[in-house]
Amino acid sequence: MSFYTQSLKTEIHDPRINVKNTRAEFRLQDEDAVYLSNLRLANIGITASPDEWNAAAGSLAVVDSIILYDDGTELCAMRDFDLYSAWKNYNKENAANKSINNFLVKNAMGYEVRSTNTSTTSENIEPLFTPPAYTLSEDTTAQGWLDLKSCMPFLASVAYLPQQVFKNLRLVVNYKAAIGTAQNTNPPILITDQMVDSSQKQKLVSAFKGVSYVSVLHDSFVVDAVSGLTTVAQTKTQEVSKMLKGYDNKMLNKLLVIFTPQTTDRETDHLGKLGSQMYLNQKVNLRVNGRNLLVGDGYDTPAKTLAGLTETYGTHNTYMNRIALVGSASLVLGAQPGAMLGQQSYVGFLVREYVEQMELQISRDGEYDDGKADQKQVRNNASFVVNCFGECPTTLEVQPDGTYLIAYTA
Amino acid sequence: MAAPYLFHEIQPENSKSQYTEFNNLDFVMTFEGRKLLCNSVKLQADLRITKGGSNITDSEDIKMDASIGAHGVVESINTSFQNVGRVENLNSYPRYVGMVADTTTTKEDMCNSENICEMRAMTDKILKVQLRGFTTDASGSTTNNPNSFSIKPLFVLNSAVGKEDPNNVELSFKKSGVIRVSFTLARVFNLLFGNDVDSTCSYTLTNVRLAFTSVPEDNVANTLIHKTKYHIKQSILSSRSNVAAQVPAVCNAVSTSFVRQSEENAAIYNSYQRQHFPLLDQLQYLFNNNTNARIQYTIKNKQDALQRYISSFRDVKHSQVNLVNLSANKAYGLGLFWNQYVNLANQTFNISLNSADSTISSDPFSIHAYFHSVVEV
Amino acid sequence: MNSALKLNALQSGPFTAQKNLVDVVLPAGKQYDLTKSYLNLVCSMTQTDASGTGATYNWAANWKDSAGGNSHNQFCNAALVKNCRMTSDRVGILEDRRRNDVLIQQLKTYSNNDDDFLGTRYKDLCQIYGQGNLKFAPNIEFIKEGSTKSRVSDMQIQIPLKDCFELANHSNLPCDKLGDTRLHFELNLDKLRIDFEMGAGTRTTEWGNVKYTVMAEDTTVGPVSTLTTTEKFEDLGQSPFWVNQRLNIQGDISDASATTGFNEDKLINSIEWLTSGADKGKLKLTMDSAFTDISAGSTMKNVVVDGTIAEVSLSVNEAELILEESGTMEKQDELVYSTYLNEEDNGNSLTSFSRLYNCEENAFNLLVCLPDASSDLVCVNGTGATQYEDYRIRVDNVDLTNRKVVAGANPSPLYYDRAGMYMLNANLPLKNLIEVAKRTNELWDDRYKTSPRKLFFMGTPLSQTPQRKLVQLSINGASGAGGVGSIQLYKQVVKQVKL
Repeated sequence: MSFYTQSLKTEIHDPRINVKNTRAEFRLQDEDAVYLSNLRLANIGITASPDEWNAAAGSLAVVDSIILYDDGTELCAMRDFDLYSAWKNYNKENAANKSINNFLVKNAMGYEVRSTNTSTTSENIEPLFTPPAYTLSEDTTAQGWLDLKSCMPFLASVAYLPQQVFKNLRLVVNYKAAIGTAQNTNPPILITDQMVDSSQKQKLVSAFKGVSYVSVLHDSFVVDAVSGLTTVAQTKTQEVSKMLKGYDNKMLNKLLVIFTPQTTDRETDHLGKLGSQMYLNQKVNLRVNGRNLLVGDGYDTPAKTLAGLTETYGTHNTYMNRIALVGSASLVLGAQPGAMLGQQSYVGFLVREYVEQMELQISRDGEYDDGKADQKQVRNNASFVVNCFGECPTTLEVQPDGTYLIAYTA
Repeated sequence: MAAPYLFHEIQPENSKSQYTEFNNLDFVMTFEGRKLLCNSVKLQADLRITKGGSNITDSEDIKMDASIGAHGVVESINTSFQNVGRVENLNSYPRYVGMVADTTTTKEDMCNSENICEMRAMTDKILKVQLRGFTTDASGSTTNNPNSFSIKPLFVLNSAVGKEDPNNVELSFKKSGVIRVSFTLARVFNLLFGNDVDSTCSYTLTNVRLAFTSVPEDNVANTLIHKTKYHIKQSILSSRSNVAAQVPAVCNAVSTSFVRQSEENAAIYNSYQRQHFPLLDQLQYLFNNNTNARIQYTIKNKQDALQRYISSFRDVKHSQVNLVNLSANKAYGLGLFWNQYVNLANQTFNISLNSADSTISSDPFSIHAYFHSVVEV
Repeated sequence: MNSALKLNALQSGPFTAQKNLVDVVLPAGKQYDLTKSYLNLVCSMTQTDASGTGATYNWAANWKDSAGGNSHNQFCNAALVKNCRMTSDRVGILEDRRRNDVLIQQLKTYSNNDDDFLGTRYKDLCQIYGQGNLKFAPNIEFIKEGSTKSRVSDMQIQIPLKDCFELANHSNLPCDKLGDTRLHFELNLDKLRIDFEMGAGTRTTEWGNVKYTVMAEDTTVGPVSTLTTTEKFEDLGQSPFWVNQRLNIQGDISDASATTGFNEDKLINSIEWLTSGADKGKLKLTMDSAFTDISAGSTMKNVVVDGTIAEVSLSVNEAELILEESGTMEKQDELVYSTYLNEEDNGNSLTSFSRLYNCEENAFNLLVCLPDASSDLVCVNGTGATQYEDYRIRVDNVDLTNRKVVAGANPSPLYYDRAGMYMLNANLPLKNLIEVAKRTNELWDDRYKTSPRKLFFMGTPLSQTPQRKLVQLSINGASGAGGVGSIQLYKQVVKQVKL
């Protein structure tokens, strides 16, 4: 009837190594321990000159990567973690973000309509809460909590981690050094549940033969700025086709594509560089092993792009699917949603193929902006980095001698 | 080796550059040697709304129902399988979509991506602002593109569950044959409402596609159970009414909504509004004219009636049935879930309504009843 | 086909603060789906005004504070059940829950997100302001357009059995084996108060927006019985007007030489939502008779409307059970279920509180509720969330955490983790960490932000042990913040009954 029985013991671990603004490391090295895979990382945060956390990533914006090692072997790694977690938090229902996720990771999504609607004040879309703030004091700074299963697929697939197999587990959290001004990262804690009943432990260890999970692999390339925009109201189409080598000779389940502009034009404090820009007349397609994955131009409208993302990854917390509104955005958008409009547009592909060769095809229209001197710095025209996160099935198989092999599944 | 997933996009058989009210969109789905992945069918297009031939302006009161979104362009859906025959003919489709939204989502749930890509929004006003077109924030921009949508119609092909394995929703071409899906587009006065809607308003659909996914044929036999709906519309002409229906199917629930006949298919008014049936004193559901087998008492309690309406779909705690919406003449309905499949082909199902509102005879209502059934393929 | 039937309570009404016991017997021989069953309190409402107009008045249900005033706490319907008990002829006591009101108010707050709450509030007796800043009584049909009069009906308060008994999560309660099963409820009717809503002097606070109550000028000569709003309404949900509403209308008749005020109470006979002309979108209210007269050369101006004075009362006349029979009969030889045992205590306002409690061997979860003194219902962390700043729990002399769990205005992630562990162990979803007590007098935009009253959650899994456990609770708060007062311990235990 209950989850926490006498067989389970909950422990709180402090980091064995904690270098501020660089790295924190936990070691789970109790002999014969069997840890459940529901590891939770808490007290993720910083002390710094007061400011608000990123509206999408929250306190996770300070994390550069999280890696689970067994001695020197990387079991599971999440790199570009801030970018990925900004999307992961977006990949939630509005209701969940509004009522619970905001408080756990300290971001500010989850929207509703404000109340007043008169001739002078509109009913605007606003997040229910503004982003919590980090401060100079550990007592008052907003700190995050993270269920590692939600962002480390290895932990989501395995039920427990027997020390007899993983003899020297280490969880390493690498930080970004300059999220806040005069920043110091707080020492995190790791909360674990451990099986302590010896007969249960024996059964679990002998039953553990391995696990199948997905690894999230990152690849990226740069798309240059649109050039040749010289006339008011002029638009120019840019088409780019680039190979993605990071998934060659692997089975690829899903691919997430994020467009990260390389300009500060229209970059909001709320999102920084952790969103994904929507472009005018954007078209994205994937060519796998010589065949276009989608018909025609692929995702050639904003609605198709959003529908494809939803089909691939489930629901996302979005309030509108466009770059701007005809007329003033303040008609229906509050300050934060108005600033962030068009900057959380992700692309998702369901692939489920063994990749020998893969190519991403992107088309967009640059548009002349008569309010800006340098057209290549205009957000819609500027160069951007295409960040890809692909899910590749992986298998960990325990060998008869007690060692294990990790390989990408064909 | 056959591609594991094939993403199909097909054009209507009657291919045109644009479509408008009353047009038919006939799609022929062929996937020889493969299996259709049910629950993946999407209708995608670009939507432009004009008044007097020009894009609408912000000062014009022209709206779409935000709970229904782009589903409102479809008046009815007719689906048939070559090897089976007609499997569903769903009329007054947008009203049904609105009822599902009323009973299973809150307004705030419209901030989920599966609703935003269908042009749904939290309020009619928020959607109204977007109907003006798609543009950019570049200063001096003249861009004004039509709005795009991708709806997953709530029809037979998108409501499948596997009988042996609930997650196996693959429909073999060998079993279905060619599938024909025909959408009839809604009239302008049904899609649009607002004080500035008149005969000069129109809408057009361009780049119309039907998208679906298929997987390779694995020659494993499976059975699918598809939820279907039978729609019946009747008039309520007096304060004491008995709505009798004989539906050629086995059903396990009925969901109904109301609208004044004077406000149906009329400009200005929202034809799809799920209006409040006023001053309901007594409500009874009877099988075979006199057997109140399911509810053995007369329902007099508004909360009881509304709760049963919500349960006729699915009670997920999210709904737009609240006292503010009810007072605004919205999000109202009646319904009943009777927890087992009953053959209504050989017996009559009655809804007995007793209202204290004497104006019904001079301003009658239409009742739209959707009987929930299943078809096994 | 499973049927839904109505069973009357053994007692007859009216039920009052003194006569507050309700007993219902589930007949033996069948199995019942208690997940869909509920206790229904049928109440009649009386609305009167000095003029006997028969107008329809808005009202709100509120929770009394310790002085009998309005605590402004939002409460769920099940908070009306203070204690409840389930017994059966053949087995005896199945469940006995004391202070069910505090328990269920706390658990529902954390296991339902904001949208769950919004989606089910059509059933709630106690309403809060919705988006649009209007609040409507649940038993009144407010007709906002046309000429059909709004109507006051009986109020029916649904209390789900799931909120009173853990066995009510059973879709096949085997009364064929249990025999006659008696449900006993002790109601909190003494805590219920009925307040007038949108009455006199409330136009700036309870009418959605004060601009809606400002009416247009008029120069049409003759008696005046219609008003047109100055504001346009995008949605009729924003309108604070309904047919048969009694309004207090004030304004001036001005001409070149003089200004004469008028102040009249009138009933709304009909409402028209204008669809054409310069006033399209505005509301035109037609009153039952003229409220002023405009002479030639005069203008009616500065017209505002407000509520009027009336008496509203509620009487709980009947109690009944809406019971769903199960569609199938399942063969059951035993019942294994959990229930809550309650222990009450008082912390005597200690700001550094520590005490030892005995827990049953089969207790697997412990919830510590600290209801505030004012409402004795909601677990508020008072004085700016400094009343309880941190806590610690030891079981059989072993700390469950190797550091204090920091609550307060900036709860630590460990605090959330412990809350999640409790809910997981109780098989309840943790869906809400907003942790602000909802108030019935707070407008929509501010409802979680203006002087938020933070809630406090303290719960922990326990292990089932061969013998009773000693649990030490330590709670610290700021001095002067009130300390620990009333304590309600809920020990969730496993029970097994052979049938």
